[in-house]
Amino acid sequence: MNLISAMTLNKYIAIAIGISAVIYISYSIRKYARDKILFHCAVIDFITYTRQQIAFFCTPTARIIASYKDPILSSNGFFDKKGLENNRYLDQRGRKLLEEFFSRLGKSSSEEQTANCDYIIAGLNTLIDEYKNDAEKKYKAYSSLTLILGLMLLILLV
Amino acid sequence: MKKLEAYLPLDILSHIRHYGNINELRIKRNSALVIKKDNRFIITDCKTDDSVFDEILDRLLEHSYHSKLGQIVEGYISLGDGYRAGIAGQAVVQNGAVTNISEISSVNIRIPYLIKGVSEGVVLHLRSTDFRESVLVYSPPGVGKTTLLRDLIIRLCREPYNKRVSVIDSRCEIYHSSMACLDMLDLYLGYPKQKGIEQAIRSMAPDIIICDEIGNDAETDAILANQSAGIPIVATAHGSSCKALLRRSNINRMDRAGVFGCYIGISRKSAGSGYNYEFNKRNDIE
Repeated sequence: MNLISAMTLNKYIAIAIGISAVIYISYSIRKYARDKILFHCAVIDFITYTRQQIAFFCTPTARIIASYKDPILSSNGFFDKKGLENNRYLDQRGRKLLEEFFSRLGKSSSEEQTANCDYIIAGLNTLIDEYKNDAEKKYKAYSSLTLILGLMLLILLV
Repeated sequence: MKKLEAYLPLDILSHIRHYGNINELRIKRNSALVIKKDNRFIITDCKTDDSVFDEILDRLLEHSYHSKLGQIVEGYISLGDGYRAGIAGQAVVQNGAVTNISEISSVNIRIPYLIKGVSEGVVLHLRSTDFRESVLVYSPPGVGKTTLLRDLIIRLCREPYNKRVSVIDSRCEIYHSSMACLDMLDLYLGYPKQKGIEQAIRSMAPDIIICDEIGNDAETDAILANQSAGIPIVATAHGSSCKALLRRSNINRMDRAGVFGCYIGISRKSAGSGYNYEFNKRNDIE
């Protein structure tokens, strides 16, 4: 009797752990997709700010960077030299866009730099749209998968 | 010289340190460094290739070409504290005006010095006129007119003179950080001279206005307009002699209007030991 109770308890614990694990994985994937989009939006905000500072005030580059505070960018090492290389939210295209942005920052007239900022912002907006569509599709797929896995676990263990 | 550490690579810095205190440093793409010291040029064996030159230029511009474009089209980059980098290259001209420099190929960094007492002759002359007379200090380029102005500003702002001095520092070459504590100094940094003179007279009630390198039409008009305000001006201009100076049309205009009571020519005695003065009073010239 005790053995059966212990086995039943273990089964329920295993089910609970299994379902929790599946929910956690699904949640993490969704969170990563959302954080990735938020990071790219934060980058666009910074480039927009930079564009305005250059276009209207010809603010020196160092002062632009020093005056800009964003917790998402700071926590992701955006302003560190190696920050872009190791950033987990940037794919190859995003990295290339940002390398191009920083390589041209402060290197030409305000007209050329604002045009460059516009180009980079357009590129990043395209990436964000792709990520949003991708995340939407994946969300549906992962939700279904989570449900199926949860049911399978229940069937197998109960 | 310490300021140059922010702009020059270590190997170039250690190379020029051998020469001690220098006056100018000329850097050109794919050419040897040239140093000016004690009024003579020394061609060093240190060469700057394209990548080193671009790195130096980027540092001089503080990675902010857009902020410095106004200065670049005028042919210089102000580095603060009296340091100035003159530049030359390929101009982009639109409607007769230089709008950009597409390929900067030469940089000439001028290193400022504070030499105490070097303006003694000018101070004594101003004192003899009870600080009522405008003077024009002239010399060929590189003799030390700006160095003289720095010392003059410090002396006039302090005891025993305590004059309210407005300095029109268009190219940010005159001001030095040691002047920060001068209570009687009003600084117009980066202002075109005509604008700075007008605003100083209207707003700051100076006892004396000081500016460097006058000579174009707008500056001349501003100075002529200032005459009625009666505020003496101490200015500088390029000229190898008083005669050569007065042959310049705008200087001649001001002379005919009686702006300057005295034209003071300066020349170096020898390294670091002050100037020879040549006083040409306007009445004597006539």
